Amino acid sequence: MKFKPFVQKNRVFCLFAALALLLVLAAVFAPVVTGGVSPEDAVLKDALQPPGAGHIFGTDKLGRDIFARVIYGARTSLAAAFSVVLIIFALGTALGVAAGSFGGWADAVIMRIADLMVSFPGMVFAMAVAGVMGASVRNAVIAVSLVSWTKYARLARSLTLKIRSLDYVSAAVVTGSKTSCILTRYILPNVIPTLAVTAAADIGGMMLELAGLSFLGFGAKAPTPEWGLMLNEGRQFIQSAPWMMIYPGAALFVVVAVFNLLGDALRDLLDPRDV
Amino acid sequence: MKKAKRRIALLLAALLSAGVMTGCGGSPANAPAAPSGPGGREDEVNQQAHEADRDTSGTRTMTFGIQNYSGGGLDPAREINCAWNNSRYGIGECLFKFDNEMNVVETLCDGYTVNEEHTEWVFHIREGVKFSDGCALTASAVEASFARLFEAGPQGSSAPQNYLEYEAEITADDVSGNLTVKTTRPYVDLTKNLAYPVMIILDVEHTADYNHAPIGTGPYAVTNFREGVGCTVSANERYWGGNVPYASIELLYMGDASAKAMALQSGQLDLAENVTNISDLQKLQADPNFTVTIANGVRTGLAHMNMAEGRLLSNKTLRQAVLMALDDDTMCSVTVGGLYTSGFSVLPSNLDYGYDKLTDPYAFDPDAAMKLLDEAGIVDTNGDGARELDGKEVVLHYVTYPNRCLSDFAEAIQQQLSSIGIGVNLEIGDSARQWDSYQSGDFDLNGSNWTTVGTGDPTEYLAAWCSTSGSDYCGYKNDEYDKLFNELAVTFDNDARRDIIQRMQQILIDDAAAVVHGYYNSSMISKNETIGGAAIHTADYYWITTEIYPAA
Amino acid sequence: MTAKQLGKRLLQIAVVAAGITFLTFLITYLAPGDPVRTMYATAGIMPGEEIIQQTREAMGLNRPVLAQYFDWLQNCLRGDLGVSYAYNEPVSALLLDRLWPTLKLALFSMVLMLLAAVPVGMAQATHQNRALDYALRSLTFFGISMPNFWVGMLLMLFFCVRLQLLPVVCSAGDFKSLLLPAVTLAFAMSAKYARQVRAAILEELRQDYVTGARARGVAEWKVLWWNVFPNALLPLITLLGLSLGSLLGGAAVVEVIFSYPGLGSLAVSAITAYDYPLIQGYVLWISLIYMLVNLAVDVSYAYIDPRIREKRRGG
Repeated sequence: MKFKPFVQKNRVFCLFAALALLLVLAAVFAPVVTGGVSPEDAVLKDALQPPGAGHIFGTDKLGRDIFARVIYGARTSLAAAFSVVLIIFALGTALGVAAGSFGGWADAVIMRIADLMVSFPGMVFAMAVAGVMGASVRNAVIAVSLVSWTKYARLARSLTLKIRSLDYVSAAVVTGSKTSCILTRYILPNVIPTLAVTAAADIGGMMLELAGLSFLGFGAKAPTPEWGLMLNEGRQFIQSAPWMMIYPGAALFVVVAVFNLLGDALRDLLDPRDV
Repeated sequence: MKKAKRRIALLLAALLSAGVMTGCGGSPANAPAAPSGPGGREDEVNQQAHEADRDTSGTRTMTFGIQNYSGGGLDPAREINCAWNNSRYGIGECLFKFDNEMNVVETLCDGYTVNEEHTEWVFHIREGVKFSDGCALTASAVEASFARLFEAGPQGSSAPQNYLEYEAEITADDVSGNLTVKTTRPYVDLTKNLAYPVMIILDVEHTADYNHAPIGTGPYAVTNFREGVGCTVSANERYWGGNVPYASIELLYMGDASAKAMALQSGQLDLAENVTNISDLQKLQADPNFTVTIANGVRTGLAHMNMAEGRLLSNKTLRQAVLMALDDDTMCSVTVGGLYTSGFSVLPSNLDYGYDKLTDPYAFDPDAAMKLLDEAGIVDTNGDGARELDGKEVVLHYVTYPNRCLSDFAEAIQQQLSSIGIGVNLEIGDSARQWDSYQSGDFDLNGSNWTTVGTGDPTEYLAAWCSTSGSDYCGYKNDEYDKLFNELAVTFDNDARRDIIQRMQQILIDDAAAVVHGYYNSSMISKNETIGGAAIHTADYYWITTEIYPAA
Repeated sequence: MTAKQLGKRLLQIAVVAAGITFLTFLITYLAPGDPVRTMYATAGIMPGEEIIQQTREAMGLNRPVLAQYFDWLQNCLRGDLGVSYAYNEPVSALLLDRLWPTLKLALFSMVLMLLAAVPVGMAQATHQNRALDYALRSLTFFGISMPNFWVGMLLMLFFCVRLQLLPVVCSAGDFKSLLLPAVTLAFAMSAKYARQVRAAILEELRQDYVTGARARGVAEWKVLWWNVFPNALLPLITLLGLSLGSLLGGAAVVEVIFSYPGLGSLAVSAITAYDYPLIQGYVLWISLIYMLVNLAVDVSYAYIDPRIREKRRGG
């Protein structure tokens, strides 16, 4: 596919993709963006400075530069959100396709487990798991993944069933093609794109859930720079140092918005009917 | 074109809101004012309450914002925090109480005698005192209250036997109104122990629910207890101390210090205790609508070090380096903004135990700390940022909870230690978790805030480092210290006691036995429009008293 | 619904409920730390080893997992969810105490959400791809992209601190205490719901009967409100049920910010204090409520439109 005509035809998508890429690069090259300032550099004497010279977003209660913490926070948030999405995408697809292809008791078991997980409101279970296992980004990722894979499994399963019912696939089955062949040639190529789009659209939502867990104290721990945690730290200083709360919140908002826009644009790309 | 329009609309909206957000936050709030220097605790004290015209109708009510300790439970036998709640809410009283100089004042007892050996005490119970349910306070009632306390004691953690031994023989004579207490061993001053909130006198005959509705002799009684939210206390019509100023007081649990300050300013609270956020406190101090009283108090914020066999901090060099890496002055004056006064001994500098004669060999000097560690061979061999000791990564497990700035200290300490190559794994839980980890030894550093002279005497607090006392959970053992501690139990002369205690402090300092954050200054804030007479007491046991009255 | 389908459904529910109880039990069974020591520690006591062992025996903690699970289940069915370590009160009493405030908050938030989302969604659908649509679309974007705890804190900053109109600690139970938490919750949810309303209405507008009605000369507003909207209700009700579920679960953050005495803030303090009986009770309750809500939605769905029932069965 030629690059230029693609860009011209899908300007919106490319714009958001570029923005998202920019955010990812900013996170990866954080030391460059912050000009070498470390998010963990605590100069106690400079605590709670308002935004101004030297600290464009001000400092927090231990004298750490908030701008640096916001940029490095992107690393934590993006990495964690991408991990969650990858896990639920992989896990959900695998289980859903398995349920759809093999049917029988595998289908029943997997779907009942999915029903079960759906019965727990996501946040409740994630809180319980992350809280009881101990607070850390890793545990928060595991907890959120555990409650979010069911949507993908269900989608994968219904897509698989639909594809299997198509004539040429039934023909392949009847003529004795190997299961693995059917999977790779027919099922996966049709299932993966739809699920990938759903996954992309979910990045923003997962980021918010993870930040929420950290806000409650069940995710990232001090001194990790993480936006939800920074918002919690900023709660104490809502009156006297509101910048501690405003910038991490704004950062979270902007990143989530960009990824939501990207997800929407991606969906529009693959399904031009304006829904 | 459609898509472009949409794109533009969205971008514009995003930029607009971003602008609004920065605009509203940008108003430069006052950065914390240059704090007064450390030391000189007297400058910070203000125990002068706001005086106003009194509303004597007895029909008013007010809302008091408080921290929730142990669920707000009120049974003195159950937990020490519950005993304190009982006393603080103005519900129960003891035979004696403490004044602002930590001297004992007669309360339910109006006279006593003691024999020469300090083993037989005769207390005269004040006449005409009634419990809030109307029953009279007699010597037998006091005896029954103590009996119940000792009976319920083993199921709780208050350990009343620390204040009056189980074996003591208590007899009541209602005719003379005397309560006689015979002890098997001499007590230096039993009146101080009996002033401690655990020894609150309750009406055991009629109290059904000790934890939510205990019946005491204080000016107020509990009428509505709401788990996790607060409780309502109403005036005790039969209070022996005279008219009770308020018809009722609404106690509201505040989640954190910032909520307290905001609620005060928004008018939701009339009174609040211990706002521990310095910028909020300074704002309230500058505001003429509020009166902020601050007392030096008798509390030390410190992190116990676990020096048991096999733990990292059993290594003295490491401990010394830890102390040298910490800039107490800045932490106290900036990070917690003057809410603590910095110091290096486990006992507060304003108490009369010879602080000025003590010396600190581990003043703030991070370079020297690093040199010390390098020379001892505690270096970082695998380049991960943390040094190793005997093959183990030097990462200290630090447990604390977010009360009275303890977590702020912990985070600041974490940063400072990491800059000299010592890692800290910080666990900020709640007070139950901190206590559990302390008693079970599951910590390297355990941060908490202790009342050092709970009974007007530091013996109980200093027991934490005496290996034979039974309360040594930090694995510290120093024979000289133990010897001095035991000597203290049989020394009655005040000057001699002061000397012993001073030497004990120096031993702990030289051994780098604890990380002392500083000495806490407690505060109480009242709204001038509605409250008069509210001032924070030196002792932490009295919040609601009849001194606080509604302003007309 | 035929008897057979109802029976099948009930069986499904029973299986799922059993699964829920087992998972809930498992959370705390697998938790690190010793439950007996945690129980004593939360009360501030540290008894000797012997007493700890005795308590373990008495609490049945040395029995195999399944036996413990059935013990616990039996107690639950009798309504006994154990005693909270931190509050020393029966768990069911604590949960019950907080149930009404939580429901109040959830219902009020839902009302606000509907008041905001339905008109917005309808407006967007009827002015599809015109200026109003874009303007509202950016608005809904904010809603779903903003973290609700940030929104809550900003609202608190404005209304409680700067303007001093509303209380900071919302535990009084009156309308003023309910307002900000509900608005915060409704904000994000109404944005999401508005988009769903828009999608559902658009889907209906594409149907043949709409073209037919228009051809017959029926007034546009009549078509919209009398034909389209009732038909769009069906998917919207399902989504409403899901929103209620996420309200019950995700309100924890908002409750913590505003110190609102609901189930969410209780859960957060229970988890922080490792108060296992309370954690178990909370997870169990919320899951069962959520399941009941889903069931109610499904049943009402099938009852309202049997035509849809068949289509839904397939996927």
